[in-house]
Formats: sequence, structure tokens, C-alpha cells
Amino acid sequence: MDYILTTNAVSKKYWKAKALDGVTMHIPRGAIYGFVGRNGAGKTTLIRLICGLQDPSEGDYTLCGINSASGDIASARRKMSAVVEKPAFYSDMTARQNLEMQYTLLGMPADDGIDELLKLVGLSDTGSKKAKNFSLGMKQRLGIAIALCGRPDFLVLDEPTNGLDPQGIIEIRELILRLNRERQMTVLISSHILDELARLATDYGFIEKGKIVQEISAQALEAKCRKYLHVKVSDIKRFTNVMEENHWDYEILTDSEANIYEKIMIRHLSDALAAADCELMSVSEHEESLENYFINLIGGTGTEGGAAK
Amino acid sequence: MRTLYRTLMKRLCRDRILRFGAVLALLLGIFTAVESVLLGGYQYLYVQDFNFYSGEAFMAALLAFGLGREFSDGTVRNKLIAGYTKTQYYLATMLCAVTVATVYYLLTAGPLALALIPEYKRLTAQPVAEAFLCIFLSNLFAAVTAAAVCNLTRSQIAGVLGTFAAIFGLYTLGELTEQADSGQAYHDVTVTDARGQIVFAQNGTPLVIRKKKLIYTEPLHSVLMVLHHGNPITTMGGLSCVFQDSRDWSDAEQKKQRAELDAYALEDMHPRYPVTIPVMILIPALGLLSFRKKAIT
Repeated sequence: MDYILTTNAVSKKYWKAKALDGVTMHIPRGAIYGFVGRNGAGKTTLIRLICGLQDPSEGDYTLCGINSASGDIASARRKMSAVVEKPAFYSDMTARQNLEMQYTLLGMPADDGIDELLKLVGLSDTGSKKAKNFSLGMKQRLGIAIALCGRPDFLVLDEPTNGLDPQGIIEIRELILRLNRERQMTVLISSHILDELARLATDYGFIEKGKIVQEISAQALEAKCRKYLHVKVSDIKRFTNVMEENHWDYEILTDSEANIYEKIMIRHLSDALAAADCELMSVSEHEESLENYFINLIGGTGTEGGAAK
Repeated sequence: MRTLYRTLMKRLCRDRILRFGAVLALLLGIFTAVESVLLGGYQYLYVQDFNFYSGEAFMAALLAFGLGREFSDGTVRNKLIAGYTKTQYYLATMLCAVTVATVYYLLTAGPLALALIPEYKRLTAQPVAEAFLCIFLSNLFAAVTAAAVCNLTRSQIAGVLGTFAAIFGLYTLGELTEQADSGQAYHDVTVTDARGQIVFAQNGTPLVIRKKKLIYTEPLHSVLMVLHHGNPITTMGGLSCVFQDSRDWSDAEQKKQRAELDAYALEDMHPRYPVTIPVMILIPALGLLSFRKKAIT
């Protein structure tokens, strides 16, 4: 698989505290990668490292095929852009002037698509309004517009919906989806708002206390979070035979427990198992939300396995 | 790095406060030039000192204010994310400091240079050139110090305050080292002409006095004086010069004056000096090391 970013055991130490501890992650090209973690888990620290705002204490990373230790990482950074923490712009300038400054910084001609960019982020009618007078949502969109000036292949957004109202969140979400769809842009979004990520991400990376706990695709995560019946049976082999005969989707957990990912009536299940001389000892229905999945993953205090019925 | 420098300069030029500062600098330059022409004599030396010295400190503070915006707005992050290294950014700010110092110098010393045009025929070129060079050097050091402090503090307000502290600190350090050696606050060296009129005092700006000819004792003395005093910001044109009306002084008188100045110069050239030059080099160096090492927030 083609990865736009891979990190290799990246660590970051501040005095004695380890903000990142051997982080190894892989972001596929063309993905919208949801980077999930609690406050203080290390999301922003890692983003700052790959953006060049800080140096790692240990480890390295490969960005657009160029390793950070090679000395040529600056050229790789030309293909990426980021909005880290809060958006950075000149507060005493208009949106257009800010983009012109960014174009100057990147050595691009000033009339090369500024209007399109302003239209893309919905700031084309801001006129002579100074950026300091923008709303939070507008500031966030301006930050993204500045990040898009160099037509990057890889966009990093650090909690882009923080502090936004629902309308603002929707606008940012639609913008990200459009960028990914129309420009095939790889996007890394860090967030602790899981519902929001669930509507966007194609891949996830979960981080806790500076360590990557899991990397998983959205499809696999969806499979894990769907409704299922948790059963306890007397004979797991006979149970398996019944599942195979009926082409029911299932997962063996232990030598007496399994999950069934099918919408079947419990009576039918019970009858099928009884016919195979397998006793159904207990059954419960579960549905795992993304939040519960995450909390269970990091060993938090959420409800075990979602709502059991 | 050229585009980075261009971007930073474009940003500084757009800053209204810096633009206002440029207008003030031009007014200061015109004011100083007019004063030089009107006053002449001994008194104007102090006026020049004040004009150049206080103006420089504010120029440096405004530069720190302008460069500090990159940190307060967070736009320094955009530069690093765009692929520029911290060293490149630091050097680009130093180049901006040199540019601003040059512009400030042209605005403040330019009018004075133009006002002296009628006097140039009478003047010895070298000391005048060195005087203007010293003024430029002091502008340069002030600007570079401001850029270094700004990058060291990574804050607009702290950058401005730190710049004032650094410049006044350097001045104080220079004065203290002078006092430590000489045992007095100022060198009371005065030179008078045949009519008993004071033509030179201390080591102030040795620019023209009306109808007086400027002579000079030692070509490299001006630069050495800057180094000796340790702080070009206070020396401004720190030259040991004698203004003499050559029609009034005999050869013997000239020799006597030169011998006095030479003795003064030798007395000042103590091996303990300079103290503040290493500090002036240390501040930008420390700024670079700190900037490269610490994270940009």
C-alpha cells in the first residue's frame, strides 16, 4: 500500500515526561485519517513533529517518500500543509491579503487561483474585512485556505472543529470531503469528537498516553461496532456447524462464547442449536458505538461492549 | 530563503506602525540636519547624540514589534510548515534587520549628509566617512539586537521590552566599563582653538562645525573607539577628532593638539576593553541556538 506518511517509533520527551512513546503509524495516500485520542494523549505533539515545529527525541518518519533523517525533508514539506492548533494568519489583513502573503511565501504568482480558493472555503465575499473581525468558523476556514495555497497533497488539521457551532462543523466537514474527493487530497484530522470523525474518516489511529493503541480502517471499525448477539453455548464445535450450515456471520471468542453478527430471532437460533444438540446457555444483544469502542480500547470507564439488551 | 526574506519584508512594509515610524525617522533626520546647520559649535554634539541614540532605540523596538507579530499571530508556523528551516527563518529576520537599519539610516543620516554638502570641500573626507560609518554600525547593531531578542523571546511584547532592555543594558555595560577603567563618568578631554573656543569635547559626533576644518589624527581610531567603548550605540560617530580652523593654528599648535589626542587615545586603549562587543555577538548567537532548539508554539 502507498503511504503518504509513516512514523517509525517516534518519541518525544520533555524533561522526564514522555509525550510520545514509540509511535508507529501509517497514513494511506488518499485517505481521510482520523487521529483519535483524549486530551493530552499526544495528537498535537505528533502533528507538530511532522510539521517541523519540533524535533523528535527518537525515531524518524517518512513523508511523501522522504525520510526525516535524510536532510531533504523540507522538500517533502512543500507537498504538505497544516493548520496546527489555532489557525495562523495576519490578523490585520483581509482574507485576500493573507492568501497573497502565503503565495509570496511559496513563491507562487499572486493571481494564480486566489479567487477560486476563497470561493472554495466560502470567504469570497469578505471584501475588506480584517481577519481579526472574522467569526471563529471564518477564521478556521481562512486557516484552511492558507494551508491550501500550495496545492498540497497532504493536509493536516489539528482539531479543526474545535469551538465551532453545528453550522460551522458541517461546513468544515463538507469542505474536507470535497477536497478529498475532488483533489484526491490525503487528510489527517485529529479530534476527540468521535461522532464527527465517524462521518469523515476512512482510516483511524487511536492514541493514548503517547502510544498508538490501534490503527484500523473505517470498514473494519464499522464491522466491530455493529449490532451482534453475544452467546454462551455448551458445545462450540456444534455451534460452529450450525453457523456454517445457515451461513450466519459469527466470531468465536472462547471455547464457549461467540458473537453472531446476523439479524436473527433468538427463537430461531435456539431451535437451530437445539436441533444440533447444542445448548444455548445465555444470549445478549449488543451494539457498540464508536465512543464505547474507543473507551474500551483505552481501558476507560465506558459501558462494557455497548448497550446490552 | 529569498522568498522568505521578501515575505517578511512585505509584511513589515505593510505594518502601519512601522510605516509611521519611518515617517518619524525622516522627520528626525530633517530636524537633525536643520539643527546642525543652525547651531554649529559645541552644543550640537549633544543634540546629535540624543537624536541618533534615542531614535535608534525606538527603531529597534518597532522592528521587534513588527517581527514579533509573526509570533503573536502564529504565522511563523506557516513558514516552518511551508518547508523553511528555523535557521533560514532566523537568518531571514537578520536580513530584515539589516534592511530596516539601512532604511532608518538613510532616513535619519541622509538629510544630514545632504545638509553638509556645502561643507564637504572644507572637510577631510576620511573622518567624515568614518563618522557616518559609525552611525550606520550603531543602527545595524541595534536592529540586529532587536531581531535576536525578538526571536529569543518569541513574543511581540517581550520582544519590544527585551530590545529596550538589551540596548540600554549594552549602553550601561559600556558606561560601566568606561568608569571602571577611568574612574570617572566621562573623559573630560577638550580641545580649544587659538581663540579659546572649544572645538572638541568627549568623544561625540565629530561632524562639521561651521567654517571649521576637520582634521584627523589616526585613520583607524574611529573604529577602535567603537570597539573600545564597546557599544557603538553610544558612540554614534565616536571619533577622536579635532576641529580646527587651519588658518588660525600654526604647525606647532596642530602637533600639540594631535599629541594630546594621541595620548587620550592611548589612555583609552586599555587591554581590558572591550566588554560589550562579545555581548553584542552573544545575543544573536544565543538567539539562533535557542530558536533552533526550542519548539515553535
